[in-house]
Amino acid sequence: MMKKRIASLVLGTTLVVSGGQVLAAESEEVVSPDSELYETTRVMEEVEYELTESTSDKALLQDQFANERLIESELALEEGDVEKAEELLEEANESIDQAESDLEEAIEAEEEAVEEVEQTLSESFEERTTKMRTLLEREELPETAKIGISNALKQVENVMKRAEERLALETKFASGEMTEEEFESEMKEINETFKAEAKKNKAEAKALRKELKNKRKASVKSVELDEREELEDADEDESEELNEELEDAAEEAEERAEEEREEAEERAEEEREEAEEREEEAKEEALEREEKARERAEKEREEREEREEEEREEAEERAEEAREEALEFEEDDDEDDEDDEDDEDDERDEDDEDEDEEEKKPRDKGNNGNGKGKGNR
Amino acid sequence: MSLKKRFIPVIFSAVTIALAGCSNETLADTTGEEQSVQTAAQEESDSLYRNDDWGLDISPNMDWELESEKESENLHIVLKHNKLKAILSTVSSSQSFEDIKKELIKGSGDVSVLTDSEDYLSYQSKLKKAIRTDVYFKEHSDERNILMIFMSSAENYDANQEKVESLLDHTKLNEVGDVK
Repeated sequence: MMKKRIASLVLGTTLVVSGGQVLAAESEEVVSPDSELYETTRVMEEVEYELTESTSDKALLQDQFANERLIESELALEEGDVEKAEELLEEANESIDQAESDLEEAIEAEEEAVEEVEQTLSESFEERTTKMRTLLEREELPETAKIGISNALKQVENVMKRAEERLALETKFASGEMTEEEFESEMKEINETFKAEAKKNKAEAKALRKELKNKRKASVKSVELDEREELEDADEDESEELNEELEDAAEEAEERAEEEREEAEERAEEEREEAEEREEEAKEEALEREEKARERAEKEREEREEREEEEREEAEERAEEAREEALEFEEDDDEDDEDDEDDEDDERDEDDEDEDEEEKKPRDKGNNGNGKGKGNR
Repeated sequence: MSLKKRFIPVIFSAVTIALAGCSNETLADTTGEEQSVQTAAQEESDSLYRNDDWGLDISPNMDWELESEKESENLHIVLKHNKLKAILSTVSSSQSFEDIKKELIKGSGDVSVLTDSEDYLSYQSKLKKAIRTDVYFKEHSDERNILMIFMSSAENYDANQEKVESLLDHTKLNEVGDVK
């Protein structure tokens, strides 16, 4: 019963998710999971992804791997290998998630031609969406698959909506209608809204899965009751009833274990997402801190340079003043020297005059007989 | 008497030489055995990768390193040299190289084939920075053949040629000990 459920789910989702690939499957060939070379090609795939440096190329590769896994999943189902098909479907989902994550990284890194890659992936999503909508209208589609389609559609619509919003923002920014700061802030807001919507979708999917599970349980119980009644009517012996009860108990235990496993997986997924978000926030905070530290360092450097400049100017002024003072001193000295020289000249003149007078005196002495003039000098 | 005295040293010398000869021979034999054991051990420890079950022996060369090994229906080993990688995969001899080529191209997505010859195939992806794949087909035994697949960015192809040739030269396909 479980296998049948998985088979229908896998078949439904495969048809749905790879809706756009049904035609592609006819043209796009893949190596069958049964082929001897299948493992070799998977190893080559891993190596190619590792060697690819550009994250937008990585996103395209993961998109290609997702398509291949979906086609392989269909092939596995055709071969009747339900477990393999389920495994491949899970791998396809992982590749889709990885493609999305690589595209995010490429956008953040502002890689060359990332818009083209986003456009390619978006077109690929668009094709799938059309097919999904057509398939949703089909009555024979299992309920589980319909729920899967609805969720996948919501997710695809979100991705496309975000791509459109980003494109509109980029156009505005390119035409100069908004500043770089406004552009970055709005881009951040779009990413956060997308994440919140993705989370909401997952929660809704979880609720739907739970509802479906309860419905299934109720139907299983009613079938069991019918069977029990039939058994009672048939008046079978007690040992058979006991065996049936034991089987029922075992089935219930199995269902409980499965529920617990699914819940544990969901919890683990939620924890992983929260951890990723925390990590991203921490990264952003670290970047902001780094930016602030850089700004502070820049400011300090500027202040230091200003101080140095001021000190240098002051030193120059002082030096200039010192030079001027030195010049003034020199000028004063020159003047003093000149005064001294004048004094000396005056003295010399006076001496000469005195000498002349003295020379004249004997004549006067001889005339007046007074020697006081010389003595006064 | 004097004749006896003369003969005694001669006989003694002959016996000594004979004994020494035998002893040397024994020593030589022992050394030979030890040497062969030692060489085998050395060979084993000197190998970059050796798997007698699959008859594969790669001697160390040009800093090639073993990255991973996976054994199931076939053997897959991955070796690396910086940004150049080599995948060695066994494949049953019932598959022709022509069939193998078709399968590999099918599994590689959108690619352009560069060379397609009897025992060699090369192609590259159509991405912005293309990855080039070179596949060498090596016949091994009645049961198994070996694929040696080299992958690197297309722009580094020429620079990597020497390393590719070195690994091709240092890979020996021995007699399979225990074919799986």
